[in-house]
Amino acid sequence: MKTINLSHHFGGVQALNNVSISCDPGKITGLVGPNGSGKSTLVNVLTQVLPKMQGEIKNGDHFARTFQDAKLWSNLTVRESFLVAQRKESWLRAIINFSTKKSISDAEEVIDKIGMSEYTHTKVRNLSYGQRKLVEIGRVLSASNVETLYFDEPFAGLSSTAIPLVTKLILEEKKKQKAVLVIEHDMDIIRSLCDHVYVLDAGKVIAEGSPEDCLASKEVREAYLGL
Amino acid sequence: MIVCSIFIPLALSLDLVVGRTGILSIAHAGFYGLGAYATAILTKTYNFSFFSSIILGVLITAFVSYLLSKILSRLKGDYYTLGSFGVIIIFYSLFINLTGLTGGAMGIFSIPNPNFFGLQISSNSWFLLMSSVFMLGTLALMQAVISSRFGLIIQAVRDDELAVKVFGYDTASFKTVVFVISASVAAIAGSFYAAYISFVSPNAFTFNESILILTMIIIGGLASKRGAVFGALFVILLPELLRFIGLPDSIAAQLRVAIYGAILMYLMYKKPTGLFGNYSP
Amino acid sequence: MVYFFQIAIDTLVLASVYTLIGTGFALRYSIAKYLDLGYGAHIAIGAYAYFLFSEYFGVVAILPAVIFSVTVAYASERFYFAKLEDKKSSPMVMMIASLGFMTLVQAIIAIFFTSSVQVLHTDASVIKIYDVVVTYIKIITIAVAFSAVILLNLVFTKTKFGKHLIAVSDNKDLAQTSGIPIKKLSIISASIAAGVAALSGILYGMDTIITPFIGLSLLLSGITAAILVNIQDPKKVYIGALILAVIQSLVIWFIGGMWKDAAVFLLLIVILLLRPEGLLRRRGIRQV
Repeated sequence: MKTINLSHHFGGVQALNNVSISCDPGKITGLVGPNGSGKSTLVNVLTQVLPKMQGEIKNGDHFARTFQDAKLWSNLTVRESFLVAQRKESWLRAIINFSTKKSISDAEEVIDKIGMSEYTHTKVRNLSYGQRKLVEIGRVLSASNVETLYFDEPFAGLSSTAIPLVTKLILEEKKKQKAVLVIEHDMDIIRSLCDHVYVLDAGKVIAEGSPEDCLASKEVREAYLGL
Repeated sequence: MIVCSIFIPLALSLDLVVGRTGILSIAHAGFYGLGAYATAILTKTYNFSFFSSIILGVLITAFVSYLLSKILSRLKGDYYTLGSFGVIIIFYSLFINLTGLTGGAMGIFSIPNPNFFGLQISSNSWFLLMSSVFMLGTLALMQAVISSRFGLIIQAVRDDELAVKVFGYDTASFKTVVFVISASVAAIAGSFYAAYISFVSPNAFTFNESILILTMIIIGGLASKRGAVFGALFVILLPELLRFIGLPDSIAAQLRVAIYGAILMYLMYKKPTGLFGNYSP
Repeated sequence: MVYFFQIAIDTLVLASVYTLIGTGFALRYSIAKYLDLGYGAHIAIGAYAYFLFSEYFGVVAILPAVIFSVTVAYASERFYFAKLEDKKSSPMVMMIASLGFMTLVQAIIAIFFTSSVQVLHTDASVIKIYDVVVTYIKIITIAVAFSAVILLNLVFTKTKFGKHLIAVSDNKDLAQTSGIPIKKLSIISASIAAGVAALSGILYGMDTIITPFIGLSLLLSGITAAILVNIQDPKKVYIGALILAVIQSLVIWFIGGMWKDAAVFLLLIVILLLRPEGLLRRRGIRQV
């Protein structure tokens, strides 16, 4: 997936200013920047939550994403949540179809992967914060026919035992040749996880390259410290 | 008893929209009225059979509800509910003002008894049989819809529509289908009402009726078939209880409404899920 | 010509009632952020309280009636609705609770005063302006609405209370962290709104008739007026109310009185479709 000169504004604020990034399959791309730099806006535009105003998006159609503030379906069970995330059928198909044995076992496979088998039938509203973040990720893992995955601050608020698990899951998706984009604040995680990084500030890409190069760049340091 | 078999489907169908999909619509009684008037006009003036009047009533209601859903869906949150208030007031206006068609405030009376393959259904027991079939049919329909993937998806839409959209679903079409199914069931209930009471007037289809049905499912509990059934029974049987105590009818009618209001207030404070609900608004 | 002026005055009166209801509602909504149907109950409470009190006190009963309505609003807000808000109830729960309140109140009124129409005790004296006969009440109604708009506008712009209201309405969380006492503000604004509602119910009832159920239909009209424009500004609600009343009068004049409700709500739906933020757009773009 790549964007060319993507721009977006609302209420007189230029949230994205000619942003051109690319996310290649089999690579993990990091998106960093201070608060308000437009990271979430960029992902929102790419996932059609916000309208694209100017610019192009190529190969941006088959995606799945997590949300920073886990937007889960609180009255559904974990398994049901994954069943919904698996497909994207029309209402007609949905009315005449019931969940097949295969789809149920696929969903339970994902539940195993995130280590929440005992919570298969637990309603999401009864889960803890950390568990919800895992379910958010599980949803993305359940989605079929997707090429690009967006993880919006997947590690925020995770316990120290969950962090290696999530890292492993994301790396697995990379092995499956998906294009992965991760928004993160934790620089250590960015360093260890990402192949390529974009730094955003005030809606513009101010640096890109390997994690080390970016973190060493003067503009990046100014952007983070200057604010 | 027959009244129960008319109101239970009304409650179930409203629950599909409010409890399962999270859409607070006050327009429900309008579709109930549409079906009732369809049967009244078609069977009395044009000599249609009861069943064909039901079919035609459903077709008309499905079409109207489809259009309304498209229009109302452009409104967000509170505005949607306001819009649905507007819809039911417009329905009432149409019922009471198109006197040539609907008989205006006087309504339509002497609606003929249903005709079942030549057998005149004039006895209550036969009618009860037919309406019970309808009620059970609605229960079966609800069960089928809820347990299918469709049911799963609309409940996800209720909990977080944006997330469902992002995962690739055309949520607008799901909501429209739910609305149309719900309206169609209400229309059939209206047809039964018209044939049973033999009389329809606009005053049976105001926002008060919509609110009455809403009260049923809130007391019984949202997103629950059991809740809808129980809520309907409770609301219908309470007036009988009051009559038993010996209050004059006019006061009893208002007292029952007052009790519903008080129950709603209490429930929202203590137990928004209602008695059997699976979902708290 | 005379007839035209008669209609014009009546339209203005109607607009005045709608303005009162609309501004009161807008006040309530901007803090509460949910569709408070209980507001309709206060319209009826005010009207019937006046009905009761005027038996003993005559026209002066307006004051105790309004005070009574405000007291009821204060009590219901403090002992019930505020508690619901404390529990972080969703807007839907709040709306259903307010629906329960309105239903309860209307039913109680109907039990004590019956559902039939009542006429409110009023000073029926009239004045004649160029052959046009106008009751004092109509003039007073127009004047009250006009002054209410000016008064509210002053409150919003000049007083600390008003500024707090605007702050809360713009961003509740931010206002809370800035130390604005939200709960107190909520209770006070609910009480004021109820007072305005009661007043509008009384004035409307003096001009025409009342039933226990006028609350809801007047409320919907008032909301329509407020939604027609930017819901917050009293001056603009007045314009919205005027537009609404004019359209209603036109419908009555050309199509027939029985369609006036449907016309109003058709208008509401059309407006909501075209401009979900209201007709008069908020001026200026926020600069970051």
